[in-house]
Formats: sequence, structure tokens, C-alpha cells
Amino acid sequence: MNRAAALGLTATLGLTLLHGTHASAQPADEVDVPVVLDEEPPAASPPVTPAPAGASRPVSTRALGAPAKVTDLGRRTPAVPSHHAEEPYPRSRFSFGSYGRVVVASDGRGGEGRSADVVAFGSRMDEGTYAELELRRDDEWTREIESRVVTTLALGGPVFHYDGRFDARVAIRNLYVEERGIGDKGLSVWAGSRMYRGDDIYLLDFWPLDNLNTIGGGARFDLPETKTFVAFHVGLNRAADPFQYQRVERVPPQNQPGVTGVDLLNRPRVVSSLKLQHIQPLGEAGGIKGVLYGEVHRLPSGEREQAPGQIEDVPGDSGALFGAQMGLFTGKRDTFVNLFFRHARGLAAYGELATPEGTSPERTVEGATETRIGLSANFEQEWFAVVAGGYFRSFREPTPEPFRFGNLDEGIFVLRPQLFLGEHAGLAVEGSYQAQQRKILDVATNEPLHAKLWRFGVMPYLSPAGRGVFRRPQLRLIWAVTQRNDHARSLYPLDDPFARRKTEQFFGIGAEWWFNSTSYGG
Amino acid sequence: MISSYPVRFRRALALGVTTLTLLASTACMDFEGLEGERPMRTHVQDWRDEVIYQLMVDRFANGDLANDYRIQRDGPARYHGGDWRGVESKLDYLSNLGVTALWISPIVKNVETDAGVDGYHGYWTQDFTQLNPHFGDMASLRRMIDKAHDRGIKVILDIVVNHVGQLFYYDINLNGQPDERVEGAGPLIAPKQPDGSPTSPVSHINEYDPDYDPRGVQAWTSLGEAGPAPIVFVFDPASNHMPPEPAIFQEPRAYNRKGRIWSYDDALQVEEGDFPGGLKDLNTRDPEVRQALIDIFVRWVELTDLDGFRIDTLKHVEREFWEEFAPAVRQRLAAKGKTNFFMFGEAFDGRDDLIGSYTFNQGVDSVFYFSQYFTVYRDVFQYGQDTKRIETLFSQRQGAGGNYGTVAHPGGIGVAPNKALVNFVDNHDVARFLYGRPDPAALDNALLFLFTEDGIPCVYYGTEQGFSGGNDPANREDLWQSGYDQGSRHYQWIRRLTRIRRAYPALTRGDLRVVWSSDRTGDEPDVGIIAFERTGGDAGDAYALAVINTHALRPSSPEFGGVPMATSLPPGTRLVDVLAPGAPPLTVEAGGGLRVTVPATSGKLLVREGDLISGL
Repeated sequence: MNRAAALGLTATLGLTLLHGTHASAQPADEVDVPVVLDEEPPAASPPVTPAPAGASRPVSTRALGAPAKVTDLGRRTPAVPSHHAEEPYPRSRFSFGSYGRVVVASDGRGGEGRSADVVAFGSRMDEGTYAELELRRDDEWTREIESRVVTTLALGGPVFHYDGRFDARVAIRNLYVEERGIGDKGLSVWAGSRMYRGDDIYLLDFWPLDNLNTIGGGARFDLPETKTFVAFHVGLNRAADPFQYQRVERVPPQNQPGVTGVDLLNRPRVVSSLKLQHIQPLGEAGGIKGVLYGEVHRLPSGEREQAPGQIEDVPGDSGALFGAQMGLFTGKRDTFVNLFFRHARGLAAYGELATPEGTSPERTVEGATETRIGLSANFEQEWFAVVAGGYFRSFREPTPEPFRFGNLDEGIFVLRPQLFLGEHAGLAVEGSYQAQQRKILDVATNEPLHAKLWRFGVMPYLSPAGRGVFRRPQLRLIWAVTQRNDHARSLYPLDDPFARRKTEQFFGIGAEWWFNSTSYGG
Repeated sequence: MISSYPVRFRRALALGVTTLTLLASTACMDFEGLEGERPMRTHVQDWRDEVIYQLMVDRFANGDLANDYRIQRDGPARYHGGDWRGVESKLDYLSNLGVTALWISPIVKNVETDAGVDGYHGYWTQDFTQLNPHFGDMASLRRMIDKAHDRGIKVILDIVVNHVGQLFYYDINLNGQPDERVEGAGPLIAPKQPDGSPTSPVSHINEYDPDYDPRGVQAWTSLGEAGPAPIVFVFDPASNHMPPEPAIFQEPRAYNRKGRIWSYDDALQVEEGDFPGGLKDLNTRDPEVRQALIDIFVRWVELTDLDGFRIDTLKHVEREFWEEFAPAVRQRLAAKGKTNFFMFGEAFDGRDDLIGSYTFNQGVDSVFYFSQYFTVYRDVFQYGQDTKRIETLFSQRQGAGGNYGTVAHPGGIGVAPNKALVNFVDNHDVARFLYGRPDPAALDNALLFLFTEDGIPCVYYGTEQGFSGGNDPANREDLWQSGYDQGSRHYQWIRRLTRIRRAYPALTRGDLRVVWSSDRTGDEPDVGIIAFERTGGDAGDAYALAVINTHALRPSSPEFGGVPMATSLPPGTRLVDVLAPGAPPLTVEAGGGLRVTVPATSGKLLVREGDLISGL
């Protein structure tokens, strides 16, 4: 959960269904966050821009505009390595992959370092600990037919060595099987539970166009001899919140003693997506990448118990979004730029696991909107690189009352130049500006709430894998200073140090890695 | 080198960065001019022209489902979801009814819930400086008030200065925790005293709501009394039992700390005791507390351009407070451009002299006419008692020796208190009229009296829909249950009466003279009749005569022994009934005598034939 979302939750905790239980305006990316206010959640998700592990020259498949490896089954990277090429079919292997980051930080005043972001997707610089462990089984059954079983375990901080609690927050993020080659060599099909997403803005840990978490299935068809594919997916999720689920107690049937539970409201959301992507080669190694993307969300009607004995109808809901991405890449040293646009209405304006808070008078979310515009870019030379990321996001609740805390416009722009100091070290500096305007009046000044903050950070690092913005692992020292205006501070409750201090610092040490992960390139 | 990359790439990169920077730094929300400091204006000419509609925000209209936090509609004492957005959405409903002023329930942040009852009503202040988020925020409040003003509707805020919510307990046994316990063995077990009383009487001690003690609530242990009991503020964010704001109210000296009122005959106890329910009585004699309260409520007017205060629990605060508060408010607001600010207080009491006593010495502009409620609307219109008591009551507010101020306060509303009393058939603190007398015709008759007497009529929400709830909270029904039916009997009747009142200046600004009342309750011809003229005063020659029969069963006439009532009109004047304009005119006899028969539970509103306005 991001900090801003946490603030939203603070303001809305306890709302009842359709009159809400918790915040709603969270983007789809926030699905890995349990709605627990006083816990530091894991970061939304890791980047997708890494280079293949062990590559002599780091090339980000995403940066190059190439398909994600997870949908690249048996194509760019054979499921079974080439040194097995002489082996008879079926050929099999197990793989382990991971993405992760571990960070510990101080605020320079003796307290814990904390993210000071107010926007939903702030700079990665002060992100917390999060890791994914992936176990994968690849099989080539025949020359044409392959399959893959993927299991990804996600771990959220804090870890035992920090808080002394011998437990962990664990979630299963991937649990699916994908096959390719049945029927047509360009056709792949998958089913299961899956993180299903496209390109990110690395600096913000944000997937601005497509990022779905469902249980379902999908298919992709790659046109022969072209860098074009079309992918369709349909999945379900039923968040454990009163917008979709209510379990009530009832007397058991047949006059049996005791009590039994009845799922009075149990309505999964059906999410379907369609993606069309084409890469047009440009020059020696570069290209232009174009993506068209759409989603349709549908939530059936149902009924729930408003009070004992009072059953009320819960109307159905629906929504849709469309988006596009345009990217250019040089093919040299991960240099690329991606522009994103996405507009969602109704149910699709909310993350697939989010709970709407405000509703229309008809108790639907018809009329909710979310618009995103995003930018991700990297320019990299032999000794120097500049990474940029930013987005603008506008969210409106469907309620006829326009003055709502959940109605917001927000944006951030981050620029991270870095110097490569030899082959295995570097120095990154980062400057960012973020702002968020909520459609309420500040309770102290009665002026529009317009939170703003500036951040400057320095991050020297070691990179055993060599030079490059997206080479991992990295071992880092982090210092960031954030200057926040009055309204940014006003987003925190009384007695929170962030409600009082104008300047925040973050002195951290950490590491980030990724390798051999189906979800994150390499 | 960057120049070695395609030109298109560099252009795209530059475009993207520029676009994002611009978008991220641009605020594009429209606050409709509701932000920041705002000017105040005077929206009222003469408060007697107004028709007040009292509404409980939580029960009036739910305009924003998204702020329905912790609602429980099957609990009459719980939050139900109404909000300021809802009020705004129903302004047409109110305009069509003829309402020109809204009295809205308190807006400040309250104790959320206490002993199974919510602070939906607004009388349990926790923070004087913040709005109750159940009802909306500053923008929605301002917008509602602005929209009301756009329609010529003024907004009166209900305020409470007597007490706050149950925010602290008295640590009587000094153990640092709130206790409620029973002590003593009682008469069945304990040995008897010589007089027969038990040596160990049973006593119930509730540290949140102990009985009034003129010395202040005393601490005591097994060894005896231990001095004033310390007060301990509760800290429970979930129920919003939090130390009050602003900070002055976190100081013990801001409270009288004498415990709950148990005798309403003891004036000091009424003023300094806690209000039942553990509502802690503010020490309004403390100069800093007084100043804080003035500052707090002036600020709300400055922030929202309110037009008046309805002041809760008037009699529970010493008169000297009101004689300082009211002038200070007038002065502060006038300095910022708002005059004619109306302050009327509520003293839930049938003693006319007590109620009126707050209207002298530059105190409140008016009071909620509770003595009339008991004497007229309850005793006469509901219970059918004689109408002489109406005349008697009205006589007590006339002249220099009357119970009410007869001179307008300097800087006030320009109308003397005795001519600007706020009249009501029922309200949120008493059972609805139809609960006590479930007869729609009787309610219509009472409403006729309300809209034809002098003063300012105030209609309690739901009256127009025939609501019939009993005492609090049963009388605080959800108005949306009615479907806001503008065709309902009482809606149409009130709509007609408001139009008539507006059309005839005699009904708003004329003096009132009772021309017939009766102390008879038998078979006499005038039983149940109350008749009064409205003329003169600020209405000049305008004239209206209301003749109302409160008897439930029989027609009556304002005459006795063959002598009709004597009007002030010259003989030969022809009068017509505004309520039945097609009926034959009545002619004034010699000596101003007028003979008219009024059917049971109904009335006539007579005006000169030439003054009749058709279409009402």
C-alpha cells in the first residue's frame, strides 16, 4: 500500500458496504496490499526492466520493447537450455528465479526511515522490503509443444531480523501453467493465478497501462514472421471485502443444533483484457513499440444483509478501460522511452481487488473515472545514464458529491542521472517533484488541499553484474531528503511525526536483485 | 552520444518529459469559488417575513452515500446517513413548500457514539473547530448555504454552548479508571437505624454521570471524602471520546464539574449541573471560556455566511452570558458586513416569564416559544382545552411589563423580541403533533394558527409529510421514507399557508389582537374559538382576521349570549375567506360585530373583499 492510499484508508476505515469499508481509489497495482492500516506493506511490485541474468551485455527485454519473457515461452529463450538440445523429448528442468529488495533505513533523528510520498506511486528511493521467490518447471514435450508451471511466492517486510517476530507475510502471486504450440506454433494458452502485466515505470514501481491480478486464463497469438501479438485474458477475483463478499450466520438446516455460515454475498468480478502489440524495427537494433489495450470489468448483482433480517439488493456494476502505449528504443544500452495513456470508467476505474468507497445514488460505481498518462525513459551511455519516470493521474468517484477526499489529481516526475564508476560501481542522484490535489478544502486554511513535495537523493551502489541502469544485483547506500509543504503534512494524523516535520531524511542501506523471473524479464 | 540516436527518439523523450512535468504540476480542480476567505452578506430584511424549517441533517436527505460511515438505519438513535449534500439536493422541495429559512442541526464534530446512541443529532460536541464528517466538509457546507441563499433561503445554525459531550469522567474513587458500581447492603440486609432506614443504603455511583453536588463532585474513599474529584478525559478515537478542542476546553476550569442535574427547581443546579447523559457543563462564567465560545461561533459565521443561530439549552447558561455573547456576536459580524443576524434561544420550559427573561438586556433576539407550545399547541390544539389560555399567554408578552423585550436590541434584527418569537407546533425534543392527536385535520388547524399568528413560524421537518413519531428519537424519522411527496396533504396545506402568509403583509408584520377566546368547554356556542386580528404595527392598514375553531366535534362561533365578537372594522365592511374565496362574503355589523360560524377543527382567514388575492 502506498502512503497516500493509507491516508485514504485512515479517513474511511469502517465504512460499511456500498457505504464502504475502505479506500477505493487505489490503482490496480495495489492489489498485493492487504488492507491493514498499521502495517507497512510490501511495495507494489518489482520492476520489469531487468536484463537477462548472465547476459554479457545487459539488454532489457522490456526496454527493447520485446514481449515479456513470461509470454515469450519457448521463443526468445527456450524453456530448456540449448545444451540440452541433444536430449530426447520430453526435456525438462526446474528453475529458480527471484526479484527482491531489502532496505533498512533511519530518518536521521533516531527513527525509522519511511517513505514520504503522497502520490500513489512515488519514487522507489525510499521503498521498503519486498521479495518474490519463483519456482518453475519447464517441459518441452515435442519440438513444437512446451509447457511451464510457475509458482511465485511474495514476501512482504518487515523480516524477522528486523522486528524479531518469527513470522512472515506471504502471498502467492503466480500459480499457473502455460503451454505453447498446441494447434499452432504461435499460439500459447495459460490458466491459473497470475500477475499479468506489461511495461512499468521502473523509478515509480508502477505499471501505468496494464497490471492485472486474477485467477483465470488467457491466450496469446503471435503472428508469424512479425513482432506482433494479440493476447486475450479473462479472470476472476473476489476480494474479501463487503463489496463482494458477506458471510452471515444462520441456523443449520434440518433442525440441527449450532450455527452455520452462509455466503449471502459472493460475487466475483470478471475481468477480461485484450492487448494488441506491434514492434516496428527501426534502424540497426531499435524499434517502435505500439500497444493498444482494453479491459472490461463486470460485477453481478447480489444481495446482502444490511442488518439482521434486512436483506438488501446490491446492484451489479461494470466498467471498461482503454489505453495505449507508444515506445521507442535504440537497441543500445537500454535506451528507450515509453509513453502511456489509459482511461477507465466505472468499475474499471478501480483496481481489480479494490473496494469502491463512494457510490452513485443508485449504489453503483457508474460514473467513476480514472485517467493516467505516464512516461518512462532511459538514456544510457558508456559512463553516464539518465532515467526518467513520471505520471499524471486523475481519479473521480461516482458520487454526486464532488467534494470528496477520494477525488484527486496527482502526478510525479523523477529524474535519476547516474555515473558508472568503473565496471562495478556507480553513483545515482535523483530529483523528484510530486503533487497531489484532493477535492476538499484543507480544514485549517479552507484552501484547496494541494500537497507537494520535492525530493533529492544520492545513491552510490555496487553492481557485481557490471555497468548499466538495469543490471542487478545492486548493493546500495541511500540518502534522500524530502521537503514537504503544509498540505502534504496535513495528510497525516495528529501525533504522526510526518504531520509536524517539513523535512524528512532517509539514510538507508539495501540491495535489489532480479534474476530468472518470468515476471520480470531476466 | 545522444546525437547518435534517432532524432525522433530525442524529440519523443523531450515531449514526454515536458508533458509529464506540466501535467503533474497543474491543479485542474474546480472548487467553484468555495475556497478560502469568503465575504459575508446580509440576506434578510425582516425576520418576520421568514418561514423557518427545522431539519435534522442526519434524517433529512442522504445526498452522498459515500459518507455513510457507521450508519444503522434500523436504530432510531444511530446515524442514518443524511448530509449537507442531501439538504442541497432538496432545496427545490423546500422552496416549493414556501420555506425561506433553514434551521440545520449542529455542524461541529461530535462524540461518535456513546452507550449505544450516536451523536447524529449534533448536541455532543467534541471539537468546536471541526465539522462533523458524517455530514460533509467545508466545501459541501458552503455550497449548500450558497445554493440556499441563491433561492432566497437563509440558514440558521443550531449551536450549543452549555455543554460538550461525555468527554471526561469524575474519578470519584481515585483509582484512575471510570467506574460504575453499586455499593451498600440495602434495607433487606443491613441493620436498621432507629428510624427504620438501613445503616448501609444502596448507592449507585456512575463516574461519568454522578449527581449534582453544589461543592463540585467530591472524591471519596473508604476513609471518607477526599476533596474535589479529578476529571479525566477519555482517549478513544474509535468513539471520538477525545479531549475537546480548542485547547481551553481541556482545562478543568472550563467546566463546572458539579455533576448531573437532578432538580430543575434549583436554578443554580440547572445552570451549573451537567446535562443528563453525562454532557459536561461548561463554566461559561470563566472569561476565557466565554471569549472562546464567542470566537468559535463567530468564526463559523465568517466561514460559511450563516444567517442566524438557534441556541440550545438557553436556561442552562446564566443570563449574563447571553447578555455578553449576543452583543459581541452582533458587533463582530456587523464589522464584517453582516447585520440582521438572528439569534433565538431554546429554553425547554413552559414558564413564559423564564423564557422571556433572556430577551432583555441585549440578550437573544428571540426565543423558541416553548410556553406557547405547551399552552397552545399541546393543551388547546391537541388536548382540546379552552382557548382563553391563548389570550392569557399572549397578553403576557405585551407592554412594558410583559415577559418579553419590547425594544429591538441595538445592532439586532430591528424587531422587538415580543414580535419575533419563533412559533412551532412541535420539534425534535417533543412528540410530534400527530402522535399526541392523530388527526390530520387538527394538525392542519394548528398549522393555520401557526401561519396566521404573529412572530416567525417554524415547521419541523416531516410535518409536511404527516410524520407522527413519539418522543425523541422516535420523532426523528428519515424524511426519505416519504419519497419527498409534494402532493401530500400537509405539504400542500403548508405550501398554501406559506403563500398566503407571504401575500398578506398583515400576517407577517401586523400587530396581533385577540378578539375572541373562550374559557368555556361545554355546549356554549363559542367553545373552542380563538379569533385574532392582524393589523397595524408595521403592516399599516393591512388587515386579516383569523377565526379558528379548535373544537374537535362541533361548529362554533365567536359569540356568546347573542353578542358577536367585535372587530376593529367599520360597519359594512365585507370580508371574504382567503381559504374559501368562493364563499359568500361576511359583513361587519354595527360596532364592528361579526357573525361567523366555523366548522369543527377548521378555521377561516378573513380579509377585506377588496384585498383578496386570487389563486392562493
